[in-house]
Amino acid sequence: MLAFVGVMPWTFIAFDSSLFHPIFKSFCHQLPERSLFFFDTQMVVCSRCAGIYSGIALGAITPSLGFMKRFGYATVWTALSIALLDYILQNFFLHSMNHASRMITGAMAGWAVTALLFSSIEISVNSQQGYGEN
Amino acid sequence: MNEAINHSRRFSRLFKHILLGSVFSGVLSCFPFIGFLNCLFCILNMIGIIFALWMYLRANPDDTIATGESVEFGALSGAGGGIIFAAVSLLFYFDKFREGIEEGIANNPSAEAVEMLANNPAMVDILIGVSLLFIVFLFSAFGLLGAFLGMKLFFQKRIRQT
Repeated sequence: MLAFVGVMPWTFIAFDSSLFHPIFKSFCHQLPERSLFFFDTQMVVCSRCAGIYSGIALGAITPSLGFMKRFGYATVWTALSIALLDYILQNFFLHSMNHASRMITGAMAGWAVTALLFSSIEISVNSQQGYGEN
Repeated sequence: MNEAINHSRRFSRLFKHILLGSVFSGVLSCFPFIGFLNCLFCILNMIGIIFALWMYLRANPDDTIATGESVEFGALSGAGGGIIFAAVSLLFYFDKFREGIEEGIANNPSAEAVEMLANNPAMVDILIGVSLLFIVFLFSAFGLLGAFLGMKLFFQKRIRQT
C-alpha cells in the first residue's frame, strides 16, 4: 500500500498529470515555482512532496535494516529535523528555492519513517513467533 | 483461526476511537482556513488520528497498543477521515473540483486526450469518482504513518512489546 502511494505521483507523469492535480490539491500547495516539470507538464505535487513520496516508496521496499532497529528513533527525529530546517532556511533565511535540497530532505524524512515502520513490524512479528514457540 | 478471532476481539476495543479519529481527521481537513496545513505531510489527518489515540490511551491508562494495532488504527481512521473529506468535497466543493479537472483537461498537452474527454462528458464524472477514491486511499496511507509515528514519538511507553 505504501509503495503504491509512494510511486503514485510519479506514475501520473505517464498519464498526463494535469488531469490528476485535483487529487493532490488537498495534500500539496502545487505552486509551479516549487514543482518539477516533465514533458512540459507540472508534476501533481511539489518537489519536497515528490521527495517524501519517493522516500515512502523506497522505505516500503527496503529490507529491514539492523541499524533501524537500534537507532530508528534517532534516525526519524534527525531526518524530520533536517527536512524542517531546510524548510525554514528556504522560506525565511539563507538560500533560495532549491529542488535538489527539497527532494533529498523530503526523501530522507519519508524513507526514515517508512523504514522504521517496517523494521518495527518485523520486530513485532518475530517476537510474536518467539512467544508462540515458548 | 483462533488467533484471528482473538485479534479481532482485542482490536474491537479500539473501534470507538477509530471512529473518533475518522471524525477528527476528516473534519480538521475540511476546515477552509486550516485545511492548507494538510500540505505538510497530511498533518491535519495525522493530528486528528494521534489525538484519538491519545484519547484512547488516556481513557484506558492500563492498556497498551501493539505496533500492528496502531498501524491498523491509523489506516482505518485515515480511510474514515478520507471518506468524510471526500463527501464534504462532493457536497460543498463539487464545482471547484470539477473546474480543477476541466482545467486539467484544457491544459492537457495531448490533443487526443482533450478531444476524447470533450466527446464524453461523463468521463469528467468518472474522473471525479476515481479522484475521490484516490483521496480516501491517500488519507488512509498517511493516517497509517501518522498513527505509527504518534505511537513511536509521543506514546513510546504505551507500545505493547509482543
